[in-house]
Amino acid sequence: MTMTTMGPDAARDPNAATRRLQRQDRVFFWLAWGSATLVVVVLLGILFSLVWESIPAVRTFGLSFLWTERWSPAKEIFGALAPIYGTIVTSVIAMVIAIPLSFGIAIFLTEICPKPLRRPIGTAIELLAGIPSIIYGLWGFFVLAPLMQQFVQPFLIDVLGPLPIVGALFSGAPYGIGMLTAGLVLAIMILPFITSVTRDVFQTVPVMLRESAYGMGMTTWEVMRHIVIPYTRLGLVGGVMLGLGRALGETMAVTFVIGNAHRVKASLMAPGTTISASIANEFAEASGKLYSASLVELGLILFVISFTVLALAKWLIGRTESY
Amino acid sequence: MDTTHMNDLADRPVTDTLSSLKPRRMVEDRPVKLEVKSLNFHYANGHHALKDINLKLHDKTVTAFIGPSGCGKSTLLRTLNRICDLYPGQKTEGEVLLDGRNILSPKEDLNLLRAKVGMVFQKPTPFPMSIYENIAFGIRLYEKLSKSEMNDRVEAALREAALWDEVKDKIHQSGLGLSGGQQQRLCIARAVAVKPEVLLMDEPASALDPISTAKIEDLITRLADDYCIAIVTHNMQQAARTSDYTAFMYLGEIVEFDRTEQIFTAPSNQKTNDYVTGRFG
Amino acid sequence: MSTLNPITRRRYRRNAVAVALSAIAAAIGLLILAAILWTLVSRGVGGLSLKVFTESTPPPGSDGGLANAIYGSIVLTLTGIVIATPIGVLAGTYLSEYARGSKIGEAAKFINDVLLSAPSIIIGLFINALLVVPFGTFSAWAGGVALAVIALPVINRTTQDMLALVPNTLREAAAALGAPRWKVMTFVVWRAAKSGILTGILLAVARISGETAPLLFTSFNNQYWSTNMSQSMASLPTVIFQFAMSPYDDWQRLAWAGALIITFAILALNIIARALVDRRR
Repeated sequence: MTMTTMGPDAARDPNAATRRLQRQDRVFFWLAWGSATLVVVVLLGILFSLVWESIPAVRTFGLSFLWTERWSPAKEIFGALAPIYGTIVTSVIAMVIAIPLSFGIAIFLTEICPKPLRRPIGTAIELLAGIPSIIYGLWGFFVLAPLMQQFVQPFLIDVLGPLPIVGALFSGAPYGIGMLTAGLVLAIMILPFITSVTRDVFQTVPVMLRESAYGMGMTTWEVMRHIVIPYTRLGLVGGVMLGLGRALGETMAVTFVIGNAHRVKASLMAPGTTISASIANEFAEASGKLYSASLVELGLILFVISFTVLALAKWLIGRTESY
Repeated sequence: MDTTHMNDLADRPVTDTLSSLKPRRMVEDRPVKLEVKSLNFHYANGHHALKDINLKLHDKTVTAFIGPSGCGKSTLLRTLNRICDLYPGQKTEGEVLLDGRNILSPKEDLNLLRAKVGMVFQKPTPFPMSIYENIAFGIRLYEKLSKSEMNDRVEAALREAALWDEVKDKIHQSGLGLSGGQQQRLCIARAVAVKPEVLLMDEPASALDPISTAKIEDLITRLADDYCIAIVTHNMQQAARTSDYTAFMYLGEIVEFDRTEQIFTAPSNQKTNDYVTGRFG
Repeated sequence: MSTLNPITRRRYRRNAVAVALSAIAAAIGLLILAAILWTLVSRGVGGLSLKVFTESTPPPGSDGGLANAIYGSIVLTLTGIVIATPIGVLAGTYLSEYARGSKIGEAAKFINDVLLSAPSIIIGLFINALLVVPFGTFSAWAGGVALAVIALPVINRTTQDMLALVPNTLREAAAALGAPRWKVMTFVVWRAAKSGILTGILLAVARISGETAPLLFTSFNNQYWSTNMSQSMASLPTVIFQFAMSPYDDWQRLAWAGALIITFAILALNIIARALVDRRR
C-alpha cells in the first residue's frame, strides 16, 4: 500500500483516499439498507407462509370456519369459534382487571408516592414484565388455580350466580382452571406494560399545566381526573391497546390454565381454549394436512386481530404526540 | 511539519492581546480565499434564509458576521462547508468559490471540502472518546501516521488551541470530563488538527463563561495568523475585538460589509448604526 | 377539618379515597411480584443441587438434572442474539439516520413495530414452515433463528430510539471534520449511543431466553445432551413446560428448580440493563 507515504496533501488527492471512503460509505449504506429491508421481508414472509399453509383449511371450510364451534380432529371437521371466543373473552377479562390496577399504580407512582420510593417501586413493577410467560403459567396453574377453586369461584357462584343475565357468567362448577383464571393470569402479565405506558404519557403533561391546576387549589384526584387524564386520553387508550395486543397473543401463560376445551360456554368458570393455546397444544401432534392447516389458519386470524389492535394503538398514540 | 511555529504561538502569554485592541492587519494585501457570489438559500419549509449574498473572505484574516437572531448569519456559515447538506430538501443557489473553485458544484466531494473548511460549533461537541482520540479521529481520516507522528500532531494541535498544559496529564481520559471552555478549545484543536485552510466558527463562545470566552477570543486572534477565519457572533464587542472585517446581516441580506473599525465607528447604513450602538437587536 | 365547608370536605374525602385506592393498586402489584418470587423460591430451592447443573434430564423416576436444558438455552439464546444484533443495529441505523422523516422509513418503522408485537407462537409457526418442514427435522438452528426473529425488532427499535437521542451537533461536528458518513455513524454516533444500544441487546437477551412458544415447533426438546445444531435441542422453558405438566413428582421438582434458575437469571439481566441506563443518566 502507498498509504504510509501519504502526506496530508497527497491524501487529499480526490483520486485515491476519497474514492476509498466513498466506496466504504456505499458498502455501509447498502448493509444498513439491506438489514432494514430484511425486517420487512421477514414480516411479509410470516404473512405469506400463514396464508399459504392455511389454504387447505380455507378451501375446505370457507368463511364458515369463523363461526363453527365443532373441532373434531378424528372427523377432520374444524371450526375456529371456540378459540376465537376464548381469546376475546380472556383478553376482555384481563383488560377489565388490569386497566384500573395499572392506572392506579401509574397515578400512585407519578403523583402520590414519596420521591425516594418512586424508583424502587417503579422498577419492581417493571420487573414483573421481565418474568417469562411460562413462569406466569406455572404460577397460575399451581398457585392461583387452587386458590380460585377453593375460595374465589365458590364465592362468585354463590353471590353472582343467582342474578339474572349476569348469573350465567358465574354458573357451573368451580374447576379452578378456565377462562376466568386465564384472564386473571393475563391481567397480571400485562399490568406492567400498561402501567409503564400510562406513566410515560402522564409525564407528557406540561409541568405548567399541572402546577397551575394545583395552584387553583385542586386536590391530587381532581388534577388527575380533570387535567391529566383528559389531556392524555388518546395516549392512555393507545397504551391500553398495546396491553390488549399482548394479551391476545400470549401463549404459555394461558396454555397452563385455560383447560384446552374447544367449547363455547357462557360461564367464565368453564374450561375453554384460545387461539395460541390451541396451536401450542396441538400443532406438534397435528396429523393430516387439514388439521395443521386449520391450526395455521387460526394463527392467521390471530395475526390479523393483533395487527389491527396494534395499528389502532399506534394511530392513537401518534395523535397524542402530535398535540 | 511546522510544529516549532505552533509552539511559538502557544507560548505567547494569553493576556497580552486581551486588553489592547489588536493591531489591524493590512488585509487588502491578502489573497481572497473564499468568494461568495449571489448566494441564495431556501430551507426545506420554503423559508428564504439568504438573499443574494456577495462577499469576499481574505486569507489570514478574521471576518465577523453580526446581526439579530434569525438574520441568516449561521445559515451563511453553514453553506460555506455545506454542512447544511446533511438535511434534505434545502436549496442553495449561486456560487461559493474556494480558491476560485465553486464548492457548491454537485460534483464537489463534501468530505474533502469539510476537511479543508473546518467548523467550530456554538456548543462544545466533544466526541464520546478520549481527548487524544478526539483529535486523532480527524487526522486518521486522511493521513496514515506512525504512533509518534500522531502523538506529535495531537500535542501540536492541543498547544495551538492553548489546551495542552491543562490536559497533558489526562490525555487518555474522556473528553466529556472537561469544563465547557476546555471542551470548546478541544473542538478548536480538533478542527485545526486536520490542517484546514478555512475555519468557520458559529458563536464559539456564546455558551461559555467570560474567562473562557477571553481565552477563545485570544485564540481566534492568534489563529488568524494561519487561517482564513469566519466567525458568527451575537456579541458586538467580540466582533470588534477579534475581527478585521465585519458583515452586518439583516433578514437574510448583507446590509453592510466593511473593515471592522469602519463598521463600528462610522457605518454608512442607518440600520448598521442602530444595531452596533445597541438600539435594536 | 372542622373549619372546612361541606363541599370542600367532600372533595377532600373523595381525594383521600382515590389516593388510598391507587396505593392499594401499587400494593397489589408488589404483592403479586413477591408472591411469584416466593413460590419460585419455596418450591424451587428444594430441587436445586449440583446435579441440576451437571446431569441431563432423566426419565421419570430416576435421578438427573437440567444440564442439557441449561446448555441448550444458552446456545439457542446466543445463536438468536448473534444473528439479530448486527442486523437489528444496522436496520435501526438505517431507519434512524438514512430514512429519517421519509415515507418509506416511517412505513418500515411501523412494520418493525408489527413484528415486535407479533405473537411469538406465530413466529414459531413461520420458522417451522421455513426451516423445519423442508429439512424434515427439528433443529437448534431453527430455534435460534426463531429467537432471532423475536430479538430483531427489539434491537432495531432500541437502536432507533437511542440514535434519536444523539444530538445532531455531534453528527455535524464529525461531518465538519470531513468524516464520511459511515465513520460518523460507527465512530461517533454509535459510540455516543453505546450504553443505550447495549441495554437494548441485554433486554432482548432477557426476552428471548425465557421464550417457550417459538421453540415448541422449532428446536423442540431433547432428553439427552446434544451439541448438534442440526438436531432438536432441549431448553429450559420447554423442559419446564413438559415436566411441570407431567404427573411425576421428580420431574415437577426439576421444573420448579428450572423455573427458579431462569427467572432469577432473567431478572438479573433486567437489573443489569437498567443499571446501564442509570449510569448513562
